[in-house]
Amino acid sequence: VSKVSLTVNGKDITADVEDRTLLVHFLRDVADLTATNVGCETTSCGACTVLLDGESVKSCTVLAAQADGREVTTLEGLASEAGEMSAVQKAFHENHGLQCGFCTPGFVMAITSLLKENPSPTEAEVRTGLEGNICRCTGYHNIVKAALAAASANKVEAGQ
Amino acid sequence: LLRHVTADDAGPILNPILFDGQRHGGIAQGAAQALVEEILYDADGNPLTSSLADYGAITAAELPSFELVTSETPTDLNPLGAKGIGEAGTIGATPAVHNAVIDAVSHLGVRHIDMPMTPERVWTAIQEAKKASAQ
Repeated sequence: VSKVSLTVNGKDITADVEDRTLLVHFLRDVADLTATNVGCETTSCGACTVLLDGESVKSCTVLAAQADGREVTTLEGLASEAGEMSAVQKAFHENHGLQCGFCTPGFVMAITSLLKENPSPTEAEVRTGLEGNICRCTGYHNIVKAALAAASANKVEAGQ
Repeated sequence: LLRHVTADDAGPILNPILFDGQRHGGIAQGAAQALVEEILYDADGNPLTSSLADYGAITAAELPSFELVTSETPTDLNPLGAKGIGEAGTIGATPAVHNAVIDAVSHLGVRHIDMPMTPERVWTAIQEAKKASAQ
């Protein structure tokens, strides 16, 4: 058992957890944040994608102990305190970027990270950038559309 | 896969957004069957594709955005005039993608490739066609 301290969505959380505890289980079971889903547990599907110090990681293959002292952002941390959704969340809503919704938190986090690295990606860059996330419902069509719409919305907001 | 066009007539459409969504998802599944997805067993019946690390699930990188053509002709066989659209895209996508690959290599003498048409299978089919034509 180790003591692990993380900042999750701006809130400090310290807990004693078994050494083998995965970050995704820490988020779901200790921090009680259940938007992050456990899909394949082999880093293949991307359902558990979160931001670790601002970069997307698959939280099913990161130990909670590896995230000690670091900052984690989950889907729950994207909206403003007043409840206003982020550009990516809004774009998913407006473009029907989901069907069953299981992969959605992972895709939203992966796109949030992708747009930070590349604010105006081409469709091909979005598709390659999302290779690590699997969706079985949407054929990716509206997810890609949402990512491109969020990129445009960010640009409008930045006055470009 | 560079371009995929689908035409559907499912009768009167109640929710166009969900209607298109069903088609998008279906096309991806149909194309995936033609190109990458397969559940494999060894000779003793042990599953070889037992996790997503072994199974070739299709991703956004292998697919284009889809082009949809829609018409609405009600059927007189039920009071709603509906024919259904659930995952309809799968039906046409598999043979369409399969035919496209065969068409691309038919000038080399390839007439058939088993699904899924992985790069290895396409390459093997081309080599065999070459050998056959050399004889």
